[in-house]
Amino acid sequence: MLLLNKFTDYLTTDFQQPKAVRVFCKGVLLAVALKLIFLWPVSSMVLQYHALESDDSLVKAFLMLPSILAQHYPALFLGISLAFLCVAFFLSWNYITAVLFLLLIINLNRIQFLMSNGGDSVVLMLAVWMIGMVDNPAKEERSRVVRYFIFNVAVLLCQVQVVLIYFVSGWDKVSSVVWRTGEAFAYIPHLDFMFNQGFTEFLSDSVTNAILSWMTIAFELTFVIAVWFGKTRLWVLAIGTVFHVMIAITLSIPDFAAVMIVSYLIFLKDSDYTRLRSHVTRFLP
Amino acid sequence: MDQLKKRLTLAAIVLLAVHLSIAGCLTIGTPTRNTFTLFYNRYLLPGPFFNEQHIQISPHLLIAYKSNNAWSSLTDYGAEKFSTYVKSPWRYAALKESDYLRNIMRRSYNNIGDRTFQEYRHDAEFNELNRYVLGEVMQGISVDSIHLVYVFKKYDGTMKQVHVDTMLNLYYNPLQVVTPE
Repeated sequence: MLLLNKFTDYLTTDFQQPKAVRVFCKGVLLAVALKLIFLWPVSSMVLQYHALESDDSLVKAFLMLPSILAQHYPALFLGISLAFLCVAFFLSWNYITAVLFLLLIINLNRIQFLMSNGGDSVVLMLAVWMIGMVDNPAKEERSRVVRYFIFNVAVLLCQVQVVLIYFVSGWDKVSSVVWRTGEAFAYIPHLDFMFNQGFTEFLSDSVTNAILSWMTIAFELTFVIAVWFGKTRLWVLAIGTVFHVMIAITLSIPDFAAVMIVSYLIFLKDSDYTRLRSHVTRFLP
Repeated sequence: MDQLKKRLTLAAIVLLAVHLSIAGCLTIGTPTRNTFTLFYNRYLLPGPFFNEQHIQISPHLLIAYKSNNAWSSLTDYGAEKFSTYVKSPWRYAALKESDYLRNIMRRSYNNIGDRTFQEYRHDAEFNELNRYVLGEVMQGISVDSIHLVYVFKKYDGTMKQVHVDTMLNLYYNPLQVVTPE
């Protein structure tokens, strides 16, 4: 009962870690904007050749209006999208911006799906939960309680989703003979459409491959638990950041790595930023 | 107000419990494939990434063209774009272009099945591939014929060898590819 009361207070008495959540939302916006800029030339090119399928339902057609604009005027669509992301970055996060952002992500995924990877699915997932992450309190008490609840549940579910990514991935690997024996790291260098061949020699030994394989499995499954505890949270996020940077370099998926690192911001607390600021100001003259 | 708070909290607990249960069943169990499980896996349970299936085959598309009665050499344009990215990592667009070429070839090939060229030349996917090859690979050169060779390179962990399987070997006149309505 005490636990239930504590959880009730956690969900319904105030916005939990609002500053950290704002930083997370801005991080996601920045990641999407940067990807849009880097992808601009090839997005315009792909739209010359790729005809988007027509939509049967009126609702779907309405939701996909931006991608219809993109098909005919790609530069205009990309320009408007970038302008929206820039404005949203500087505004306070609100429900209208959040819904428009989700709509943008759905349309971007539709336009760019032939160039997409897991990172785009993760951004879509984050965009859904970001709708609830609005920390403007209402005047009336009942509405205020509901807003606190929506905010805190959205943050919690977003954290659960990120944790599930690692759980699904880790479980799949531990269930696979190829991953348990380390053979997966012998296969990976032969994915020559994505593997940076500069690292081939490093993966030529079966013992090294087995160690790397189990390190990957251990990290993914440990993350599921360790991220929820104060003593291990920052450590596992730091290790995860290094893990994803290495993957970005070796497997040429910088966008996936960037999205996963940005998703870690949802696990930070307001006090983490206060501590970071005091560490930084200590070194300033 | 306390009643409202308690009800909201119970709703959140139920939602979490249901979501985690479904996620657990779909991940650890072997559920049947239906609309619900497909939707859940796609939108609510991203991953797994780099599972066994995805790390065994490396697809490649080699392209050659005939112009002024001479054939060019078979070139892996996707690999060239990838190599551009590896040498200059800020050229992210080159990486994504190689992804695009690989994906449209995969989609075209998956649709071809046992059909003849005369049948699949109407496909939207093959048409897109043809237009991309003419527009970006040939870049306006007048070509009489195009040669596509689509191969799967598969690494055999036991024999420590790479097997190359030719999945498609096609000579065709690009003007015969019909734009779908």
